[in-house]
Amino acid sequence: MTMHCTHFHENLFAYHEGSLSDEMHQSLKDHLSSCDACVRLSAEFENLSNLIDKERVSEPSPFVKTRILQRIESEFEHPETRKIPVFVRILQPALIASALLAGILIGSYSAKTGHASDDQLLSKIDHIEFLKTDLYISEMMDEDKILVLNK
Amino acid sequence: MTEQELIQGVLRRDRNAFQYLVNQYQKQVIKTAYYFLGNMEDAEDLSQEIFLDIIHSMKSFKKSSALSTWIYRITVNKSLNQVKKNRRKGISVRLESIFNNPFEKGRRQDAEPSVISAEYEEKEKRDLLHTAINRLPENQRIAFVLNKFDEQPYKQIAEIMGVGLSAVESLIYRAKMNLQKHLVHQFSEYQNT
Repeated sequence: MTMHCTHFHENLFAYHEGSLSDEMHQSLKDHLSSCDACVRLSAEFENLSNLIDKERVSEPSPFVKTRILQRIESEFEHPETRKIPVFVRILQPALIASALLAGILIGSYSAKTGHASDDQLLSKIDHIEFLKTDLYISEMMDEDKILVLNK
Repeated sequence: MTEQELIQGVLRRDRNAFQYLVNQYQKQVIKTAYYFLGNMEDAEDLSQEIFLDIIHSMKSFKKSSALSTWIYRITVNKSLNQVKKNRRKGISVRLESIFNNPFEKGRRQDAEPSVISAEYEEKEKRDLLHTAINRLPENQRIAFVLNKFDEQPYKQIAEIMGVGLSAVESLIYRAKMNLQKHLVHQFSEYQNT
């Protein structure tokens, strides 16, 4: 690669855009007539410029307008389908999970502390038995009364 | 419909105003997005998000610039964000479009090998061009794409970017120098393979 090649590389855009002075343009043109590598480079660069022209004339699909309008309509007809912010999306399940966890913890804690001692349980059972016996006696007495009346 | 009526209509969420907005600006939005993304399907998909953004943020439009300039700004920002997202995802957008587009697939089956080769070569070159453009610093990229692809005059680019005319000139000049350097390097590698 010669100094002329470097000079050409540094002025590729300007050479192809035709924005160089006449003198400079002619000097690079002279170099191209004797350098195959720079000719190839120049051709490749020309191809890229043509590609930009091609991209410029690319047209969107004819149905795109309908798609955009449908998207806008669905957004305003169903505002609830709008994007939920990321922090809400993370926070919501986290809150639900922690509420469930708190429920489980409270439940297990109260189950533990809610157990009566054995003595208390026994006295409750005694009390129930006493009530049952009382009820039984009063029923017996009622039956006696009925029998006396029948007689 | 005047610009003022359009703005008021969009703020009222009037369906006619939405239609007018899309009619007036769809080409501008999609083409600009396409120049940054290098893929028409992606640009069309992104245009939906861009229009929603325009509608949602219409109340913040200060009218210190033309509506089209403001829409350009939103389009450029959204497109650059999308390029970043694609880069993060490591998606080769162009390759995906070649292999997943049924139209392309159908065409490839019918096409002559020489046509396929020419198409492939063109896609490869386009890829090279967009890779080189995407390597430019953001401001240089915006100025270069708006000028070379979108053919926007320096004054309009200055308004879109919120900088002075001389800054735009300098950005475009530096973009060309950087691209030149990158492309010369790529071409010499390409020729050596």
